[in-house]
Amino acid sequence: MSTVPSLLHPLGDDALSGAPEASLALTDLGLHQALAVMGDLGPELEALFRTPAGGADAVAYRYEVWDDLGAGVVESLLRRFTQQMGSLRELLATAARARNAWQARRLVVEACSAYTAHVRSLSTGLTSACASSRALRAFGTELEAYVGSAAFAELEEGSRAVLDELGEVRYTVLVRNNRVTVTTYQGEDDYALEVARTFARFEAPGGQQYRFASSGPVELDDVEARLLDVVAELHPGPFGRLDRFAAHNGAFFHPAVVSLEKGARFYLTYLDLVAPLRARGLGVCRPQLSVGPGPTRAEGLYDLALALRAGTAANPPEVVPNDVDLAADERTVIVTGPNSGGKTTLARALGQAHYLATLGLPVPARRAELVLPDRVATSFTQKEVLDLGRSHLEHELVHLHEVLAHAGPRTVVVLNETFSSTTLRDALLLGRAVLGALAERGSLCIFVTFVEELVTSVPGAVSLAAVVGTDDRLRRTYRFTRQPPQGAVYAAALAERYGLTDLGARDQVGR
Amino acid sequence: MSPEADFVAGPGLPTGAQDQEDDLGLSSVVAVMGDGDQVRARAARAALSNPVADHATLLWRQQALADLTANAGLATELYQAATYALREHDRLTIWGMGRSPESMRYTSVQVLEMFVPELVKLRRLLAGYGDRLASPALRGLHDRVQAELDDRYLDEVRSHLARMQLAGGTSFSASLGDANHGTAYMMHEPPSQGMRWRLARRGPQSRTFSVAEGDEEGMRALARLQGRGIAVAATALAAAAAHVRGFFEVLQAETAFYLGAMHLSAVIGSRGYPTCTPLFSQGTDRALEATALCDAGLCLRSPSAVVANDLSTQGRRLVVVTGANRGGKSTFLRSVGVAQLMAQCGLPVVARAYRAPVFDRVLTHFKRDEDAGANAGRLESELERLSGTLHQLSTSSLLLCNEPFASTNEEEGSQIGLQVLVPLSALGTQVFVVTHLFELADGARRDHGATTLFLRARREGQQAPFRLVEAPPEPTAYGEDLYRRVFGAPPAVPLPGAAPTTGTGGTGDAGP
Repeated sequence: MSTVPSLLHPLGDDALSGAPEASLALTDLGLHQALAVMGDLGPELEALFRTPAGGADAVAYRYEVWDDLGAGVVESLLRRFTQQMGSLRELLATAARARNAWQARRLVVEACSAYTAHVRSLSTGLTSACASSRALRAFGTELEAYVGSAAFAELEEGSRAVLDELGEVRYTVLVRNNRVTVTTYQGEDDYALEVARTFARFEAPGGQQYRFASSGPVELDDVEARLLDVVAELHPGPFGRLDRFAAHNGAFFHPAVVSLEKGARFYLTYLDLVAPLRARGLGVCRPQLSVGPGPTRAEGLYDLALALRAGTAANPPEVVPNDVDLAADERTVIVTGPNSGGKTTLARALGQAHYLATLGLPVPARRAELVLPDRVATSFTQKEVLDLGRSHLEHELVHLHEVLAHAGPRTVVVLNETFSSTTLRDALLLGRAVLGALAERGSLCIFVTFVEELVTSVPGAVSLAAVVGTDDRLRRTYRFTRQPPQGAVYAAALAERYGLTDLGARDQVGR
Repeated sequence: MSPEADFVAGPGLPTGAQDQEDDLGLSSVVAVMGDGDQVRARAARAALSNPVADHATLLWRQQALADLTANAGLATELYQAATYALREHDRLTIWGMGRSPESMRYTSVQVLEMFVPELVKLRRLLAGYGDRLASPALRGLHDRVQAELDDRYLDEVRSHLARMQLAGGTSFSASLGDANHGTAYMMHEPPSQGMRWRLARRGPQSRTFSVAEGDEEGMRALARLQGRGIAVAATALAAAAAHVRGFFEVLQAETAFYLGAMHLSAVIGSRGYPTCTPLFSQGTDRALEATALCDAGLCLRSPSAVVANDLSTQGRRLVVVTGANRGGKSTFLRSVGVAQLMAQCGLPVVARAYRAPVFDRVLTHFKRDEDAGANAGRLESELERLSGTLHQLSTSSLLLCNEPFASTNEEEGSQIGLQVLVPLSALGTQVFVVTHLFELADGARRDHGATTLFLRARREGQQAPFRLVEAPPEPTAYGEDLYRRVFGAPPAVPLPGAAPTTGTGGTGDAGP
């Protein structure tokens, strides 16, 4: 049992199970696009978005943190903290790159001092924020203890003392031609003051101000470096202390701080991802989750990846939320509708909601009630044949065989136009078999297909069909409702438009 | 130019100043004051567009002018001294102050070393005039320069400048800042060249290192370090150089003005017109009195003699000038405006005697061609302009209107005039109106006759042309006379308003 608290798992970061999720489902569901929007996360952080939290309690653990984040105090506290830590790491990186040893040591001590200040203010902030999640309460306690510890005091006071002592150092430089002579400061007077005093009698109000920019690169140039070395020689006291402190406290990050930083980045990255969506009226919510059999419901469900694209594209696709309401025993869903009518989008949305739930992340809907899956599997048509040795169909079947081998009552399977590369009869046969097997295991299955007969051939299947426009039956509404497949209606409308119905055809022919 | 403020003659003019200059024909005055010198012309324009509104400053200027006139040559010498110093400054700073502390130091030292002998020359020049200086302005300048630029002080300056040559190297101290960079740089007295630096600092240890002779990057780094050390002192020097330049700039502008004034008086005098120092009344006495007043600009422009006029408002705030075309009404109006502006610059006016209050603003509203366009547009544009002018004035201002509301018919124009100009004068603003609008003039006579001065220009062909007399308005501007002169016969149908006047006080000039 690790003693370092974690924002990500009740038993500590190390308990995060095994390898990141295989990328197939992630890609099929379109979530890789969401990851792309997040930008360069670094391998550690990216892996977190691919690794399930690990069980109902771990998921709940994370949702508790989301509840705390809802109150602005915690969010701004964590944001400030991660920004500070980011700057700190940059400072340490500069220290590592510095060519002059005295500069490097100084930077390390500056980082250490800043670190103690940030941690102290974080601890104070956390304590007063009165968080309710197990995670943040554990961190609150741990940080309070850390800040009160002797080791922390040593870091805090020690670094401060070193910097203060260095601040007392003053040296005099004499430059003559190319020779530089350095001594300790002997109390010489400010000559510029004398100059200013002499010329004061010409002063007029509102004169031009002359200023020189004081900033330059952090790196010391050759002369500065040699000068610094000489100053160090002349002031063995303060510089000796600097040397000792830097040597002794090279690595000062407390594991709890590191863990909090890592976890905070996970939550904040996702918050930043969905923030622009919130502004457009597309929210995310904490789903109500059950581990046993239960209904699958969602209000205002939408495809997250699509919504993210819609925000940036020049001709954005419409985002139309849908409602889903399945009873506990309704575990097979057949989705039908015209091309580009939103079938795949709906299936993805439902798949995403389940996937994100396993990560303990808020799902793209206004409200949701789900059965927490143990696995989300997908089978989407691939344009390319992945393995030259097999046909497309064979590939699908091999994959589904594997899925079925591990499928259980908490598995979610999303099939998109599976078996579409064969004859209708075969598709019907195979589809019926796979759906039957999945139903036997109690898995939730969402099957997007043109093969409408599947609806009637699987007992208890729910048919979600696209709603056609009342004014124009060819208009896509992107909304789905429980109704028999509307293929006939749609086809008739299409025929009518092109004058291919009985009457129309007669007209054409008669000419 | 003033006991408190510096006189600055920048290149730009305040808004509306150009229009006023055109309205009043001041460009002739400016040209003569300038006498071909851009700096003098600029100073003249700046002064005329910023008339002074307090008695003390006016007296100050009048006395300074008198002093400079009495001490012929001083103004010219001061002006030339200032001009030379400024030209040398600009030559030395042609590339600016530089971007590094070192270049700033170098240029500032050069500039100040140039200025010091010029300041000595200035001091000696003024000392030469010594007791002959009577005005507070020049006495003040003399005393200030003698007191503040004495030899002891200038020696101190020279010694600083010599040390700031940094011939013996630089000395400065610093503390340690972020990332152990140097910070809080403070310059020490520069070591002198000959002396070896007394390492009587045998107390503390010292360390020395060198930058190799061929190491260019190293030498640059060394220069940067020195720059940080001297930065504060360098900026102090640059500021000082700028301040001295500012001093000469003001001296140049002010003497430029007075030179212009003296030249103007000379030219006016050479044409035979009298000039006088105006008197300023105080407090509630707001009367304008002038004897033999002439339009200064016209005096300078016109080859033939300019007719003078007398004026005595006796405190009446509204002055209405009517009468024949080309009867001298506009010239009269200008003569008042020009004289008042010149007076409020501290200049003498072209009159035998002139007494006036000090107005806080002098504003003009003259007929404009830009008010052209569709008739409705013209009036509107004129009213917009007038509104803008009214916003700038107060009850202590002077407003000169030449043919206001001519952009509309008599009835409408008169109505507007009665609603705007008459009440304005009732509030206290001194208003002069030149107008053809009989209804306006007559309305003013009916309702405010006691507080209005009516002046009338003579008919063409009459005796003493261009002289105005105190007389009520007549309904005609002698258009019938003009017709007769052009057509050689009276008009068949009488022109409107040709009937003999029945108003009081008509001087019976009606009829052929």
